[in-house]
Amino acid sequence: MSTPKVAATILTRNRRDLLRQSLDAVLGQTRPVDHLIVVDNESSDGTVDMLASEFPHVTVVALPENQGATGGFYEAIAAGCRTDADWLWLMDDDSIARPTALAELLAAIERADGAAPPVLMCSRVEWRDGRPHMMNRPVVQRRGPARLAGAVRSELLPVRAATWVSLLISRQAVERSGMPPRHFFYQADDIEYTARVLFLCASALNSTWLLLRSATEVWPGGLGSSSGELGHNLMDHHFRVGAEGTIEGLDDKYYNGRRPTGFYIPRYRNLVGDKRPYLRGFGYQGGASRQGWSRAVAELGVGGAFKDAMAQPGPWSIGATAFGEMLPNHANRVTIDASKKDKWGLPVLAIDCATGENERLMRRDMMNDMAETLEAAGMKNVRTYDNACFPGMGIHEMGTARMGRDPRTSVLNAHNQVWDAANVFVTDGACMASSACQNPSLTYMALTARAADFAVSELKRNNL
Amino acid sequence: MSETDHDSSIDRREAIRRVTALLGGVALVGGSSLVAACERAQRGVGAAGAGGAGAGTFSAQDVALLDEVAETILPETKTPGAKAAHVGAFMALMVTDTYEDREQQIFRAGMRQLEQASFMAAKPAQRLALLERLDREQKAYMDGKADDRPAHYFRLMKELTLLGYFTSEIGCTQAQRYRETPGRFDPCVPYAPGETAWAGHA
Repeated sequence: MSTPKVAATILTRNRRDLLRQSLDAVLGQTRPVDHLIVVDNESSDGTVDMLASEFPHVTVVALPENQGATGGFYEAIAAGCRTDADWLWLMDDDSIARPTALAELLAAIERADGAAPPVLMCSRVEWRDGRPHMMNRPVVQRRGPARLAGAVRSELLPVRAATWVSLLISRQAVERSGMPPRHFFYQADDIEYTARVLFLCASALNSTWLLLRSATEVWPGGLGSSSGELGHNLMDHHFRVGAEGTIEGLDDKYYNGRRPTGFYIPRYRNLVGDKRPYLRGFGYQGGASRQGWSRAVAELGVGGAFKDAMAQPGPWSIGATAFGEMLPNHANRVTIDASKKDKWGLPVLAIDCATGENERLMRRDMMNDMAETLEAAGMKNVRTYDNACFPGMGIHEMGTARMGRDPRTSVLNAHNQVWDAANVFVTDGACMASSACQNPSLTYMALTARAADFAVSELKRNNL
Repeated sequence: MSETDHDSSIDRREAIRRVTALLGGVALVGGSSLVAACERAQRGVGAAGAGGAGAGTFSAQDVALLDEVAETILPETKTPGAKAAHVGAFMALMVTDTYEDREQQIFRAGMRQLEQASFMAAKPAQRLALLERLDREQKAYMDGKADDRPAHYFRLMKELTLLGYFTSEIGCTQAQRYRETPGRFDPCVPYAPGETAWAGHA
């Protein structure tokens, strides 16, 4: 192989004096560089003039606007790729290379004993006092005993990520993998993670929020939006309606300990021949107990006898609240509200959702059925209530990335895979196509386990 | 809004939610609007008392008066009374943190009335007679009033006394029976008159 060519590129902004030292250090290498490029991030201290007068042989890329570290290095890599260099040696204006730094990096390429030649090499970065510079410690690849054994043999640590401080990257790798994202934040605080399979299970609205904000350069409406259903069909359960009554007698009976649960009456409406003026139905969650001290608020009485009486159990009462299904409706949706930011500066969701006529009709039965039931069972003082309900109160939000058989009308397929991106799975409440009337968490867990099993089998078949 | 304000408003909202849950859904007259209480908390009008006309801190004398009112409503019997459970300080906190300005004014005006009636100087039997009269007065008023009319101050004091006492450690573990951890549950056991109720749990 012929001798590789190296283009050194230094990114600078308003640090003329440091840049001089950095340039001198590169020019003083035992192994001379083949090209030397300085990218200036809109300096206002005369850096460009200094370069023209003191370093006339250096190629200068003067950016008309400060693009930050990542934007600047994007330009540095682009400039390096315009030369005939095989390797790009990147650094900041405050990186002062030791005279042998480049020679050691190039020698290390020959020593590396991986299956493929390395694409990225970094130096040990030290502070002035010779101690490791903590901000510029590379992220070391720790997995794989064979790799670590190879590292001992070659005296090279395998790294997953490193900072732009004496970083040698292969031009071939840039051409193969593309340029780094230029919108990342300053100081390598952002890390790009990659994965063969991604599971979103962040709770319905947060998963959809992530999808809405992902891959918008490919799909303007977000990842998984090609059907036009992403963000739509938001649902919840509606409740806060039912009936309660008192039970006469049984004054010589009580219970012992902490009640583990109440009673549940599963859905019976619009099933087995029943036909109501609305679709679907509801279940009841209820309980019976002896009243506690809170009955004292409305009773007349003060003093010792009153206190001791109220510390004893009161009459028996029983009641149940209905949990109703809410129909999916395309108009009930979430969108990104770019005008409002959360505490991390990220845009929040705007939620536009309301219950409709079907729920209104259902609530009459939800209230009256329980009153009839309690009266038929011999309860006294039966009282109905409807304390009104709006979406969100049930905190069973679901939908917005619904499952379906047809990619034209749904976001996910039957395996919770995003139709538009087969290696992305959404397995929380976002996937629900209808809300049913049951508490949904166990269903989400089952769907997640099922989708994970599917993903593993697909990975083993190399289908993902 | 500073970070601290934000966090404390969540704590307070959570506290109010838990107190309401403790009541098993029984609505309080005072601070009855949970949403209003949350809004108050978010405005940052709270124990610091920088807010509206009804806001302000309770002095040690105020708390002492509330302690004696509470002790008269729920006195020491074979179990400790409301004063031992520091119900006076509890009332002051609840009024400052969860009451609307209008309710705060009613509550404070009620305290002034009790002071003018020389409540603190009165003997226990006189105190009881006074509060029995106020109790009949508030009951008649509350049962007959329209929903949008303000609550009677003594109803506010009485319900805060009950809430503060029966959810305190003394109220739960001495006046009632309390089981900290779930375990065996017998749904139907004999009950003899005089046995205490199971205390609620948060």
